Amino acid sequence: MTGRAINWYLQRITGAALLVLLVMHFWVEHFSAEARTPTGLTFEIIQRRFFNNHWFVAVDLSFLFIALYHGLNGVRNILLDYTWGVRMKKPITAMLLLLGVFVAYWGVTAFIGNPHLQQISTTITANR
Amino acid sequence: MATYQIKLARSDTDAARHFTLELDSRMTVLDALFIIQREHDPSLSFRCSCRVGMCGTCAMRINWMPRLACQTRVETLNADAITIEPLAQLPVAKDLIVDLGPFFEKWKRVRPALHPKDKDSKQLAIVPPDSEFGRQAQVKRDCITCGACYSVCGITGSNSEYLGPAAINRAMLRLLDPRDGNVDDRLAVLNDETGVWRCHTQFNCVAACPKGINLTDSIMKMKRSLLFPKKFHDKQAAT
Amino acid sequence: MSSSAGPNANPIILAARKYAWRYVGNVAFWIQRFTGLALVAYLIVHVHTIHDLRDPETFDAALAMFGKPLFKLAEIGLLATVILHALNGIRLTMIDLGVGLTRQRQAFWYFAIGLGAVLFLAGAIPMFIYGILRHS
Ligand code: SF4
Ligand code: FES
Repeated sequence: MTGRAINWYLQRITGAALLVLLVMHFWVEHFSAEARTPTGLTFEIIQRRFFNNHWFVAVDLSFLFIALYHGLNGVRNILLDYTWGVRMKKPITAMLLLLGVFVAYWGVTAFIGNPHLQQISTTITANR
Repeated sequence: MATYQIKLARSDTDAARHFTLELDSRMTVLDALFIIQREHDPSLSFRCSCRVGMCGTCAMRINWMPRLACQTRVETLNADAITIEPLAQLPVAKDLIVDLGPFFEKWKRVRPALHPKDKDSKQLAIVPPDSEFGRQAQVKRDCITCGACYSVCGITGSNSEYLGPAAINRAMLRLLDPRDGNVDDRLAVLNDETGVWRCHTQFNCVAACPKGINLTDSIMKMKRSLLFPKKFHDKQAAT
Repeated sequence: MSSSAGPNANPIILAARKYAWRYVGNVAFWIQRFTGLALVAYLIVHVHTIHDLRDPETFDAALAMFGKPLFKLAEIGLLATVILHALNGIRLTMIDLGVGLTRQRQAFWYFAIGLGAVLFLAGAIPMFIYGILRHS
């Protein structure tokens, strides 16, 4: 097994995983009872849901990481299909890695260490 | 007999390109080219040798699809206008002749010849027809290096270093061959960034191959084998 | 015997014949590529919106904007993109596994496009009714 073979293999595995996660994600965001309110999703609903169920965070974050890997690896594959892409492989990989880390940071900090989500959680804990 | 409008790609811009020929429907495109060369324009250049579909030199684009001119009867094109061009993605030498240099450069890269494990062996190799090599070799050894697959692949078009379908197919046959001993070199070429990983299963090569070789199948087999290359190393170890 | 050899070689008909069946794998490849790139772009924009959870007002403003019919329509387009990429992705994975290599054209038309259209309508119709017709 080499890196390239594993990369190829992982692209398939993450694709299959995304299929499952995506159905869950779409269901939760578009068809679940909470999302079908007249106003649609709001910060409030999301906040309530995330506080009540940490699985949402877990699923959404794993969705984010897997989708980022699958997507950026796909972009890398596309670039390597060009003669110049293979020549510039190292900078391309580095750039995509950087972009991935950056977007992942955006996503993670939306939930973890978010002062607004934090605030409610302490209030509710106090009320109990 | 039927009338056909023939349009040729010519490298000399002043050369005649349009011809109207009366052809018997059983004639091949190669016959038409000979008629043009003998009766209309002796400067027309094209390549052929065997005329029976086993040398691969007469591959060209006929009505936008690569075919062997000697194996394409005009009637089967189901059209009264025939456009004939050289294979795509290869440098044109003259008129309908392409320079297959890039194709054979990659062909050489996978070491297409047999590298016997035991050079002095006097024994005949026994290949059971239902062994993996036997089954794969049935059709896939029929490659006549015509370059049709190479000329339609989208990746050879964008990446001039990509091995291309025919070379990978050949490497697979050598890797499966129980007589062959050069596993590492071939696996290294296939596993390169310009090797099997560039294939994105467009199936253009399969649609184009005049020998009906399922090249994508060979490439996918090699991808899976590179994930678990143990069987080739086992083969190499076995004497 | 007739004096004409057959229908005229109309380039459009020839191209359609070529890409609708014989070279349909190539069409599938480009669909996969462009939907993939579109989804990566969408993913980045989407995560950017989610990042606004740190600022509830901006977030609700963004959600209100995405509730507009135009964005709902774009969302239906997103559904089509995802379905095409996913079903063709399944087709490609089967090919990678060595399953159905000789029937990849059927897999494209019947599975990726045919089943895809059914799934798309099943999702798009409720999205259209709830997202656009019942809007405001
Ligand atoms: S694999 Fe088929 S298309 Fe490719 S060179 Fe060989 S005979 Fe020609
Ligand atoms: S002339 Fe040999 S294959 Fe056509």
